[in-house]
Amino acid sequence: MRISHLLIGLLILVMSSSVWSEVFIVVSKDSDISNLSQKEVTDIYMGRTQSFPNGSLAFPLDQAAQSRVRENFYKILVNKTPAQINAYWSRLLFTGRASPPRVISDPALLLSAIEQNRSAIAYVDGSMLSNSVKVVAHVK
Amino acid sequence: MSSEYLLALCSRSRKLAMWILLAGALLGTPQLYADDDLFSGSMSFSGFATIGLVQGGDSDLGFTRDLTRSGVFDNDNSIKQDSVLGVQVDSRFNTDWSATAQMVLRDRFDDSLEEHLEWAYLRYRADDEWSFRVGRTVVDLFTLSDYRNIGFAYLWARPPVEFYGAVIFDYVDGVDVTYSTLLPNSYLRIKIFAGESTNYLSRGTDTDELEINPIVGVNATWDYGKWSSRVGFARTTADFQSESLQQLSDALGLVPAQIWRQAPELSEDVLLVDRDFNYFNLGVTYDSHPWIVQGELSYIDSSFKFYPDTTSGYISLGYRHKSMTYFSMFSAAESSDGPRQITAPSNPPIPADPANPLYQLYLGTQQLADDNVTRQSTVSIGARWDLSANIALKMQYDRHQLDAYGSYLWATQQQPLDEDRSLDTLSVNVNLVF
Repeated sequence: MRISHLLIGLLILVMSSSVWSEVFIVVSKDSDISNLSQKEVTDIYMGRTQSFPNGSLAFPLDQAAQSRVRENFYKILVNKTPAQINAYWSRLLFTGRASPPRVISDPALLLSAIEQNRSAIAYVDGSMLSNSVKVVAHVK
Repeated sequence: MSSEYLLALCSRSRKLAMWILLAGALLGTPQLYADDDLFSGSMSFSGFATIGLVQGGDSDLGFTRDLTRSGVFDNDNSIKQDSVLGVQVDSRFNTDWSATAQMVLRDRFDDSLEEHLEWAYLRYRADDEWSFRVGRTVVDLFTLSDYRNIGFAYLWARPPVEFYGAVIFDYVDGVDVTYSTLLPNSYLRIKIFAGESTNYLSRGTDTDELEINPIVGVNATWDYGKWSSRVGFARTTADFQSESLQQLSDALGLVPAQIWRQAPELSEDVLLVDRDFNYFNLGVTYDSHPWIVQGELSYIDSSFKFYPDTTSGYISLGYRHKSMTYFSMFSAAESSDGPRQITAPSNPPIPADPANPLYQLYLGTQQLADDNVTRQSTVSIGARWDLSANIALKMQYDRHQLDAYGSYLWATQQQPLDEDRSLDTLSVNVNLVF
């Protein structure tokens, strides 16, 4: 009985982690940016550039460290696990090359930060999309 | 209190003042610069730690992660080799200016607060491509130089000793300029640095001050898809304030050339004063899930005639499976020449009598030559287990193979090793970032 529960639990875990949902990259409605390629998103999120392709400043925002959407986003974008992403950033942060994206764990705060800042960029899952933000890319 | 001591103290406090100034910059109120933008003006704290246990060494040779630490002998256990705690404060004043300070607590010969300050610099980012730093930064010689204290950032229990064990300067006080640019399918970074550094180096039973002034270097890294490669060059001028070397030199200087023709030349050569060292480095990483391959090569060109040119390298293969990464590595370091063979005094020939002062002098000089040669290789296997997104457990077994007179990278208690030797090292450590 217990073993079958465990198996079902494991099955759900495996299934849920293997189903990658779509992730949307959003900016403020007022932003001049209308479209970003996956490479441009990668360059911003991996700390290789601090600006959008048009030269204006880009401030990437991260979702909560343990969140599913964050895990999905980096898995799709660069095929790295959360631990690998942390190892990557520890190589940049502790060597003074770049700082990781600012984490805003509360989804509502994240959305309001996007609305109010033309330089901010974030990724969200479909459930968080609203009229107040503009989708500039999606990855899946 | 001697005047030299006072002078040293003054120079120290001047340096300290610089750090206090920088710390002030760090703790200053970033709000001063803040405008409506949520993002300008921020301060963040982060850190890393490793708690590590090492078992290794035998009665003659002590295992050491690098030459700034004392060795582990007799298959003993030690937590001093790998354990480290680092904390970092990043303060961003606005989009262009920021300051960073990092304290790294670990086992050192010189335990002063100033030595534990690994980073303290002010950065100006002119634009997306150009960035300038002034203050204290890590000496960026090889791929892992920048983050060799941060166990979480790399795969193995520690950076390969053959490659990183001989790099004994941690930090440089100076300036650097970085140019980084996004190319259509790749990312290029070029860095130029210059500065000076003082460190403590342990040889035999002595620990003495090694001054590196100046050190200049340039390196380029190129990231292309799954590949990352690096090429680097650095040049230093070193002064090693060693009392035992000075005594040896003085003694050799007293021997007339008629008795020992080489003595005057040896008297010069044994001093590590104003000697140039050139470092050449190549590195490649290939990361294609689940495989990760990493390798580096370096060549140290030395003008200190008692330290032969040395080539070192390593290659590592890792395989990821879920949260485990299994790895194996081969690393080796080889001096171009064996120990310099000192010609014994021959006019008149001296007896091999340890009581004879001239013979003692000859032996001491030969020992110095024997002491500075590296001839070893290591095969390692191990695993890294990512327990969570910021905690990793590592285990590693090393089998070291040393050739006679090749034990430069080991702590030695008395005589240099005069026979081939195999040694094992076992390591377990927990690494985290926060």
